[in-house]
Amino acid sequence: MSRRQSKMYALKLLKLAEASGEVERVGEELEALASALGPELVRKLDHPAFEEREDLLRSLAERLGLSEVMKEFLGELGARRKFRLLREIVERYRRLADEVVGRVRVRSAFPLKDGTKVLVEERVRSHWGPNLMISWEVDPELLGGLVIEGRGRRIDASLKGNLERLLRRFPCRGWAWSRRRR
Amino acid sequence: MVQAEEIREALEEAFREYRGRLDTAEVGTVTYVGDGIARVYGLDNVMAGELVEFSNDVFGVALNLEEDEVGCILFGSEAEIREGDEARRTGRLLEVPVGEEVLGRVIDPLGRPLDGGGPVEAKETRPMEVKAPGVIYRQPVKEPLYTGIKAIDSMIPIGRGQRELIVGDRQTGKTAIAVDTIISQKNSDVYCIYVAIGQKNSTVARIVHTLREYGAMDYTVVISATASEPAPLQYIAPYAGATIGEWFRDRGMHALVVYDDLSKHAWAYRQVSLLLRRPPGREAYPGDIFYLHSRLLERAAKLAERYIIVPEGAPPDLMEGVDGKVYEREEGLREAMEKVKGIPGHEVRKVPGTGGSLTALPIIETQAGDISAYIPTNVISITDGQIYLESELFYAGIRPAINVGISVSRVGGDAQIRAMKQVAGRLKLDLAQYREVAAFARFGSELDRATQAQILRGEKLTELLKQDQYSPMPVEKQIVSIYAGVNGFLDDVPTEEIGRFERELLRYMEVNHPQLLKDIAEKKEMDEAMLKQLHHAIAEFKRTFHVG
Repeated sequence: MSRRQSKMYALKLLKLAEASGEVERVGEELEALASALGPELVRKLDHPAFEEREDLLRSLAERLGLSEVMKEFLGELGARRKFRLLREIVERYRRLADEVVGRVRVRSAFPLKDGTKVLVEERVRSHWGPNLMISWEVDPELLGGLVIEGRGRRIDASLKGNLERLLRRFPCRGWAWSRRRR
Repeated sequence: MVQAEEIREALEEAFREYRGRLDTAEVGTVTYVGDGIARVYGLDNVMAGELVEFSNDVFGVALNLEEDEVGCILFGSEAEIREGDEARRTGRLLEVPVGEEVLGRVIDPLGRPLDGGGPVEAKETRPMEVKAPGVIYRQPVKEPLYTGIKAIDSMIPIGRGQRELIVGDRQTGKTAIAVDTIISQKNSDVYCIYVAIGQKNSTVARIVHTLREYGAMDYTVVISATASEPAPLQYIAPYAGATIGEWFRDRGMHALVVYDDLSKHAWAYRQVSLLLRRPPGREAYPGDIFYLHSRLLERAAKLAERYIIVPEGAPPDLMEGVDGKVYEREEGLREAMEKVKGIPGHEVRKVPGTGGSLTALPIIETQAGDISAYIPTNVISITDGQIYLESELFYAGIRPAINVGISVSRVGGDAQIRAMKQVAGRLKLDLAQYREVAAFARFGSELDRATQAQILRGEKLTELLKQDQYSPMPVEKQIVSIYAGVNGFLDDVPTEEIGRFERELLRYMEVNHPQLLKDIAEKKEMDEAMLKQLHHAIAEFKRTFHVG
């Protein structure tokens, strides 16, 4: 049930953002908002007896300098007390927005030099066509190399991925199997 | 003891051979995990039935392709997967190891060993979901598959390639019949596959133990997806069994597969379907529950035999005849036999790898004898007959508790040998007449002589058809027993002595007339002289048989 609701919210928000040409900005604001609102705060915001909700939301919007679309969206969530959906909405919005703008994420262990970026962009465009948007991300966990993700595919040329694949080839895989994460 | 040097070498080799620097994959994100299923966002190009790899070496199969999600069933522990984890396409289908290497093993439906005997070293794997052979590859059932149970081999005969349902309430001896049939294949060329679906671990352990004890594991593989396994594993178990059986079938060999039982298989599939949010139908089973069983049982088949004319003493792997023609089935064999008469020095030979069979014995458990429930009626309509077991008979001491009145074999008659037909016809008739008049006997009403004789005969024959578990009987001995029964030799033997009479008669035949037994088994038909000899032999024995 909540999945369908969050999908509806995300779709509506995306439509409004598209209309005002702020797909990217709204996305960033959503992420910022989601990381700002901890579970404790979300519970409080959804509580029926919480009276200062509107004031709080207004000051929050001011402080973060939110766009008009986001302000409206916040008001809507508040009125319907649906802040518990926020995390899922962010997730949905990200996927939908990625499809709309044709995003390709390039992750690297260190910030890339401009020359390298051009090179990578050229290759990506020749592979996936011109209508796409590349976002550059830095992920130190990769140790080295690149990971390119987009359109449901992932090209992994990172050191981390290589090491993991090498691990899978070991004749004695018992250790790799019993490895529990984190 | 593993030496440090060996480890180093193995590691070095792994490093040396490692080339790939780029890894391209189609990936999706897990959005839900639980109850043996996972929902994955993404994987836009995944195909229905494709194997999907999750983290920590857990695999699943994509069953539901929805608008923006894929519903997968999981074959491993769902505790190893978390929301947000990655799922990747493999481009492969579900496969299971096949071949002679799996014989003697106890494995799970994915081919992983359960018997502590190390990995299954099969040379070949095959996809689990394949289409059944079409019409032109088949031929009617013609060779018998002996269960070693008198009541079945005489009145409900099963042929190789047939699908015979075993149906009955709990505790009526369904599994016992299947296990007896497997044990009785000991001296035949039939390989057996026993698929345990949703059963107790203890039951499976006991069955494996029994099969070992009777030396049946040499030609048998047990596939086990017990009640403690996740439903998806139970759901694929019978397909794994059919796949292993098909390997034998497609090589011109013969195999028997027992699905024990398909009611629980239907339950497992219902669970998976409901969790994947497929709409429920009758008894909450999904709409394709019929297809689930029909596509499985259609894979049991008797493949057409092909014959070629070759020079005498030609190598056995010759695939082409001297006249470039392939003769198919019985008609073809007759034609080839005619033709070879005109070509001296040549003979007709079966093309290697043709004429194999896969026989299926599905088992269905009914609730309180209700065979008109959804799943039983479905499977009854798919199979070529059913063996119906009743708890009333079971508790009345008639074991195997087969209700011969409503049990049928729709095609097995063609597979029965003539010698058995010669005696079984009377047996069926006598028992049918007995059933008709048996009701009167209970009222103690006065009956005419003919009716009394019918009742007496029926009682003796019913007693004769009782048989202990794990004691399959070769067909020639069955014929002798039944011959004695239908020809009135038992009419004046007290009912409680019939078991002893039969045992001693067969002993006597083994000792004094071994040639006759051999002739029946080999000629598969009894001529006048043999019938006379058999009659005299039984009469002779009866003179020496003392009651009490």
